[in-house]
Amino acid sequence: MIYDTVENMGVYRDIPALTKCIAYFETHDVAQFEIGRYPVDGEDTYLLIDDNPTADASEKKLETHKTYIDFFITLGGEEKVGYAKRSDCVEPKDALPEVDAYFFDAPEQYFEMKKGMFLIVFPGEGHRTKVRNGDVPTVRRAVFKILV
Amino acid sequence: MIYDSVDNLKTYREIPALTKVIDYIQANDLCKLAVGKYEIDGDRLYLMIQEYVTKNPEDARVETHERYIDVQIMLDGMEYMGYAPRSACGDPVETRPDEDFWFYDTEVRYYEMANNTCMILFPHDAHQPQVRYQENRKVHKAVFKVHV
Repeated sequence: MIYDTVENMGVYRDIPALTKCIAYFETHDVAQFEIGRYPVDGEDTYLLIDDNPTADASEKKLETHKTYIDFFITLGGEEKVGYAKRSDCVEPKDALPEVDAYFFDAPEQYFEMKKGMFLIVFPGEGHRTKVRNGDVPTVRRAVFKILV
Repeated sequence: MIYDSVDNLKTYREIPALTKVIDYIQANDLCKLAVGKYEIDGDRLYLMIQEYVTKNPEDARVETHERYIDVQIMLDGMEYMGYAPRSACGDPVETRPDEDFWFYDTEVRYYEMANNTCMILFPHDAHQPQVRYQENRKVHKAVFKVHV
């Protein structure tokens, strides 16, 4: 997993799966985009702009994907993302294969997401998103979904 | 900042600065190396095998480097690594440019360095290594210094 601030995003440009999204982010002012879905590389890799309430961790699920990288960029508001190692996400307690989501109970560590931060989880890495950070009620994000 | 298991480092191999060090990690059994310094590519890339007792947080400093990327791997033991983006650290409280150390008095968040965990810290990543996890204990670690 990668956790960093957007001014340093270029460091990761040469990771093949990320190249197109980083170029897209550098050439589009995604902070001005309306909520919705935007193609980046056909329909395989796309960008979601969302704006959601945050909630207690108990109301959010720890999930992994098998075929997608999730690339979260905080545009406004805040959230915390729970992160669980791939080796701790082995036996799902529930799954929605049709949307590539597998759910786990596993030890987590939390990463604070404030405006200008990004976090990238690769297939198999557990993440529990939109967890409330302090009393910040919402988070606006750009989320690249990258088919591997 | 990259935080992952040694087993997953191939994901990051195409980052030009990291190719050589990741190839070295995959080709060598770091646990078998004696404590000491190993030159891999002169002063462009070297490895330190360390053994030490973890410190109380007030005795471990938050630092950045300008000339080197740190690739820190826990071989045996457990510690916390403090982390904060350098951009959130304010001005350094002490600088030792000759030794490539910039020190900060700042809040960090702590992440677990369990066996086989790797954290890759770029010059923009402030870090506070060697912090005790639950108890002060001896740990065995590998620290690669990668010239930028």
